[in-house]
Amino acid sequence: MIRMKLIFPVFILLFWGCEKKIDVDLNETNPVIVIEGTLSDNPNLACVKISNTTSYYSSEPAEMLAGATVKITDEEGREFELIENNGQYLNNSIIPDANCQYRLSVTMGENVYESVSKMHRTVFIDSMAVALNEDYSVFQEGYNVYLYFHDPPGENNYYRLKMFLNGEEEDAPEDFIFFDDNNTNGKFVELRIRRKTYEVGDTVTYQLQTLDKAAYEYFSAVSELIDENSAVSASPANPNPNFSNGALGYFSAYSCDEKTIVIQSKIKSLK
Amino acid sequence: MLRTTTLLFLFLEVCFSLAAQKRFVLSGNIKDAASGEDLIGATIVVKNLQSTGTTSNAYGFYSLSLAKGQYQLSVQFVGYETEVFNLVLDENKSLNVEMKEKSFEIGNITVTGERADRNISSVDMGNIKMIPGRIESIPVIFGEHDVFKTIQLTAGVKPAGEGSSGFYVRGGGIDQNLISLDEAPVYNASHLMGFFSVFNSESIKDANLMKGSIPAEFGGRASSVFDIKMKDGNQKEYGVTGNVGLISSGLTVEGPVVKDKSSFVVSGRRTYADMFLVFSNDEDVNNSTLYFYDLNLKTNYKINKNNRIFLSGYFGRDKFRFAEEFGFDWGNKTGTFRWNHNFSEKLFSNTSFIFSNYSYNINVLRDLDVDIRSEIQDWNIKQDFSYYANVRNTIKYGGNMIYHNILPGEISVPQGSIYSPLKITRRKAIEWAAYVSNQQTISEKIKLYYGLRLALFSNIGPGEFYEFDGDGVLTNTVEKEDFEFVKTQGGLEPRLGLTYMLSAESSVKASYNRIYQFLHLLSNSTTATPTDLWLPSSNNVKPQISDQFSLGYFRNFKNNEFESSLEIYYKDLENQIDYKNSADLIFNSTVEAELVFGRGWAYGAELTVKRNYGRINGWLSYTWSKTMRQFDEINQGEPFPARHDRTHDFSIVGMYDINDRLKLSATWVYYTGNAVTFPSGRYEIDGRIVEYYTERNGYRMPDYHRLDLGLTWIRKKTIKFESSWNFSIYNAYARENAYYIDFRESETNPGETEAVQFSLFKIVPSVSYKFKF
Repeated sequence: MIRMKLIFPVFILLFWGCEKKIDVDLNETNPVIVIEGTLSDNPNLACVKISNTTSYYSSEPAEMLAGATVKITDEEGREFELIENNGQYLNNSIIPDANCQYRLSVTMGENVYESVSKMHRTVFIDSMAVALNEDYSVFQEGYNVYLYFHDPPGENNYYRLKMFLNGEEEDAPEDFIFFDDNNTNGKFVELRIRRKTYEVGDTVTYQLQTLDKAAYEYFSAVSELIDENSAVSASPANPNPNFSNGALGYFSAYSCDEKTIVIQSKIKSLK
Repeated sequence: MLRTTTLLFLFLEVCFSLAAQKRFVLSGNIKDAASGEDLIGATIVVKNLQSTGTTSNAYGFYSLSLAKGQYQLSVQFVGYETEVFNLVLDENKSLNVEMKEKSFEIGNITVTGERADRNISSVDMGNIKMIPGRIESIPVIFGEHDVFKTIQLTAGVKPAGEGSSGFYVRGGGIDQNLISLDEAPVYNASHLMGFFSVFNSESIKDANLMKGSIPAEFGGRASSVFDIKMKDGNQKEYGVTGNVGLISSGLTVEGPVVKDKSSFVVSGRRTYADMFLVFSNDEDVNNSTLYFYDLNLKTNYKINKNNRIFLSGYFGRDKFRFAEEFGFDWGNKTGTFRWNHNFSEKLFSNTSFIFSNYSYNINVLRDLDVDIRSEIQDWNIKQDFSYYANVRNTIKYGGNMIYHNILPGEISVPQGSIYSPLKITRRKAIEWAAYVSNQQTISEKIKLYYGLRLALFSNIGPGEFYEFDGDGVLTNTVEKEDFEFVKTQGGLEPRLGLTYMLSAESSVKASYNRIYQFLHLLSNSTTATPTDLWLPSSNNVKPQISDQFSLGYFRNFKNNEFESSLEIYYKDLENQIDYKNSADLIFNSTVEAELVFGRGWAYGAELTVKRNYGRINGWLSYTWSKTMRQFDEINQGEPFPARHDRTHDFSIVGMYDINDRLKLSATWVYYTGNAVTFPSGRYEIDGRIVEYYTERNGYRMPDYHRLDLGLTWIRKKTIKFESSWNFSIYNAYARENAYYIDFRESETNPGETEAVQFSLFKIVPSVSYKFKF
């Protein structure tokens, strides 16, 4: 999907704008439960984190809630319990099947929160490449990493790209990247994040996750909210939750594949 | 509805019986003596008959039926010398009047009424008329005079945002204003992200905003009509007007083609802010462009006493290009051909053929070579009749038919591109209307206006039409043939007005309007953007309907030197549009599934006090208002304030003539901050901080206020040559008004969140020079 970023307001604002930190009184609200659940096939791991919303200006990280009963059920009715460990609920014995739907249920006191997610078959990365791109408009000169894969034809696919630099996940707001195959269905896709430039010697890992539609829509809505440029949105709203009973958050079963490349000088292309 | 119709026929009955008495008709045209420009809304008063008179129409034509006799007539137009005629009416007579502008005016007349007491005696209410030449000394940002900016200083009209030319009228949305240039709708009336309107004030003769009573000949937008007329051109002699400003310059040339029969005017304007880009050290920046231009053309020819034709056109475009990477241009084209024909002294006809187009193009170059295009195009044929039945009744009737052709979006890519081309089905529709109205003087004290308009909208093929289930999932796609009718919606719109004169200097007025709106602007950002999309009503989208009731008290003081008015209104809006969460509005063929529908209502009180004459003149306006929306899907179904719900809105405009060469002016505005959505908490998703929202528009931006100052120095003024300098300071005390407030993770202390206010303009000084010969 080609996204239209509003370049002009930025262009104009550069001339005259000024920015300052201000105090805005915000209402306090009752905490709402937030559930983050993932089920991955590579490695096999189910992980659930439970927390509450906090006051907007609180400087503490959200406290992870213990004491919940967390279960994942597959289509055949097999139940797997996730065991609490250090604020997370984990289970590494579920071997996910492609095209199967999984149900997550979280019981916290009297309340039960449920969500379903479908595991998609893995879309494998074909290859990776590196090229040196010259300085160009807002982009700096540097090495870019290219990722190639075949988008499966005849179906809608939803992807997430996770990037790791020298083993560290890149977690800046703008590195929260999601895309679909609306414009590339069934094609051989080249993906490059132009603004991401690397130095010689960097080890770069790109992970391609294949999500289900509901999780993709949830993450896309979140990425709009955390996008620094979205301040022009007239009416921000909470992403539609994936859970029953008013819990915030998502449950995402996903398949993934990753490849690693080391940036070397004089490499033009590994294609 | 039935009752209104019967009432209307009853009144028609009455006026025809009055018309049966033996009377003679006095008719003619009223013009400016120096330029030959038609004067719109000049008043013709019969001195010896109280409350008898008429006003000239949009083409300067008037018609008056009187019994045989001897009369003294006075022709008045504010800013002009009153002309008095004595005549004996014993047959149908033609009287053309050329009026002279007052040679030396002490004090500008700012926002004019055509006749000194027109604001109290006319049957319309909530109307604001502006003549660009008369508002020149009001300070504006960048020194670009703009009727859109001045209209925002009047009661009930609110700017869309800092420096914006967009506006809200009485709680209606930005798309609920019909902005028409010589009858052609202008679909995107702003340049450069809304900081300038597309109307070059040098080319405008007259601009009239109707926000209260809207006559039956207008329709299609739920809240107001902003009717802008281009200059016709000087019929007597050639003239050149030019102005040189900080960011733009313009030149207007006008003159006779055949003296007293035909004239032309050509007016152009271009900004040159981008010329400074060449000084940049960055090669990409100095290879970039950013400008807009406007070109207005008009000519007219008076074939004979009973026939006159007009041809006018407007072309404007914004162009933006960043190096060899990215290009974006957008703009409007309009064209109007009009034919005035007098069937008799009493029956005036105007036939118009109107074209309007708005389009944008985006080119993403370099590796991709992607072209993106969208447009909306109208062809409109319109027929209006004015029948000057007698001194007490003016009947108007007519109809029009508009063919809309909308291309919501098209993406073309070169062969072998990784992107797929996309073409969203064109949307075609026919908008039909027919109307009849009568303005009737019942007695010295009572004037009535009653009209009825039938407005219909039919979607037609070719194209795909979609059906959705309750969750917005596409269930069926129907392919339609050329000109196959799909869905017709609409209805009757009553328009009523009443004026009751309490005394010679005071009156009360009441009005009621219903209006259907069939085209809706989809925009989810706070500023006007060129990619905002017009969506027609269809099987999935019902027309918006507005019902407005207004009531006003009008009082003038000291022989009309001071005008004051207090108006209250209540407006009900049906089928309002909002969007689902993270709705995808552009390049989405099933965008209709992204919408939610609800209702809105607005009410308020507007107070205006104005001084028209004297060395110190100007006006003061205060609006108290409430604007609400309610949608099942938003805010748990509870009503919430619209973004532009601003409780208090105050403007004061003052002009002081130091002497006949120096004019000082100042404006101060104050309004309650917009209703906005702020987070009430936060949580983490995948290690990123996400805001948690509890209610729509539950917070307020800080209050907005600003002082602007202006000084006009008339350097030279002779009959042959005139020149003046205009200096202005926008936001003179450098108030940092919030443009938006962003909530984000602190850059210095990760994990902590903060609110950051962004302000646009601090002090913006500007200077411009104007000449005329």
